[in-house]
Amino acid sequence: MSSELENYLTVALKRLEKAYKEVLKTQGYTAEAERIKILTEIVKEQGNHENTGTAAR
Amino acid sequence: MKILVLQLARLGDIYMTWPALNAIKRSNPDCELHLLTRSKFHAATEGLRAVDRYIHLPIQFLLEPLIRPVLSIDSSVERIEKFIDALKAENYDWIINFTSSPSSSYLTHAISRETTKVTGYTRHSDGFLAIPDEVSAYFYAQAGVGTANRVHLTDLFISMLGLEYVESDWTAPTFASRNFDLPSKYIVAHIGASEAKKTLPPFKWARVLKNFFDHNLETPIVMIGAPNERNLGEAIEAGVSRGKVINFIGQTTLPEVFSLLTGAQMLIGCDSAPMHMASLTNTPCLNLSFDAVNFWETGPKSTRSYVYKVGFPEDVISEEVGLAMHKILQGEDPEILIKRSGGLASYQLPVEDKGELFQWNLIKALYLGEEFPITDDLQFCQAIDKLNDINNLACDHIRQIPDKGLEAMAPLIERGDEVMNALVRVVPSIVPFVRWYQTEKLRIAPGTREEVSLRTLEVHEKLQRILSVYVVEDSIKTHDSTFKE
Repeated sequence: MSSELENYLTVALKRLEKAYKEVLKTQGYTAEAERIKILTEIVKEQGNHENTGTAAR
Repeated sequence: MKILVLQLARLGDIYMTWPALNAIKRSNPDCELHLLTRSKFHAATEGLRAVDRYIHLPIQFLLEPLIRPVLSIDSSVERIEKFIDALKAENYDWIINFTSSPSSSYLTHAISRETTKVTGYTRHSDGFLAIPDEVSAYFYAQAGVGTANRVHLTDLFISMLGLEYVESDWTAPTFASRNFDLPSKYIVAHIGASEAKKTLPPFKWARVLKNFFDHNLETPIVMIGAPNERNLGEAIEAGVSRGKVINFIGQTTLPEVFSLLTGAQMLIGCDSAPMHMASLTNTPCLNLSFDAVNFWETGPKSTRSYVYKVGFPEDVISEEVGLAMHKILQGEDPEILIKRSGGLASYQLPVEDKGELFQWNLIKALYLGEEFPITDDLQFCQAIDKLNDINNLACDHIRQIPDKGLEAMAPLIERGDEVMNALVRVVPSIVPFVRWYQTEKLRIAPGTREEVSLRTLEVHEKLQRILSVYVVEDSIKTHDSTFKE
């Protein structure tokens, strides 16, 4: 993975986590919170952490 | 019946799922079977006849709004919402999640409806991990690299479905093959893997092949690998001065790999897609396995296969592997190798490690009702005593919640869990008990305070009964000390 892409994903991850906390605070665990969480986890699984075959706790 | 299977891991995992997909279709011939995989690994579904509809998780499309100088979370959320809504509209009767990732668990929950039967990881309504079936709970608690689990992933998959395999579930597809112009006998060597720590460096590969050719000059080796592994292949070729090496690295499609494996005497390689494709073609394998993987879970399933297991690639003794390859071709059983066998654990070790065997027997006792193994390990027994004390205290604390309140008791209960975790670090042999306990607590669904307290107490009481097998009764301890006096 290029370092440029990795930088974008790092920034995206921070923003997604912040957005998730905000939604939880204002609306609770809603469908929107779940969508943001899915995107967050997909971002985390990119690049070096791509192997999703091992158990995620 | 409409069934969705999620397999969002990599190529090898998708091939390991083929037999379960075939079993689903065989057992439910009228069902409509859909398979969700990542777009990137879609090629691993080519030739799979059991599936009626293939769906791809379009990761690039979903993440594209986030990979811009001015990223847009709203755009990505809109895209994932459309994707989820389209799948939710399918109204699946059964969703089976064979992936053990967080993203797959959230997706499974998002796509399922109230009436959908779910197997595998999903989420509770509050977003916490939910594990509805016992086999997935076993997987969560006991499977993974460095664990004592010996059940193969393919066997866990079929158990999750409540089915059993038949021979026809393990069939490779047939494709119109290109003419490789190969002799009637050859070995395939898959020289790559998804990660460097799972395979050998080129000079090691060269030495392995050279050592094989020292015993057998007649059988050529056909090297396969991904296009980005071409340099590796060239380096290996340069290091082999005798024998015939045919370099097909970066020149084969996955269907062509199936054809190559079907005609091969043997495949040698690490934990990767061709190894799992060979399980379908029933090509004998010599699997080079390292500590980065758990061969019990992801080793070769073809009959007459073997595993050469060392800690790291640099520990491989090329002479041993070269000789083993030769012996396997001769129909001999190399004594140093782990051998493919039948049964719950798919392999037979040449020499058992006492500690590992004890842990595996503990797991079988916990989950399959087999007899708990006897031990004279004092450290283990003392740890069990301590665990029992912590657990009894936790039971007392939970029973006091109605009187003293959750706010007062919760920190004490949490402290008990912390002490358990610390105990596991000191005495790892009690891991199967603690992981069982932690998983059962995690599986408690959201509910009222009373409901959750009751379910939690039930888990602790079950742990008491389990631990009682190894707990020395206080009366016996007193008698013992009296006897010593």
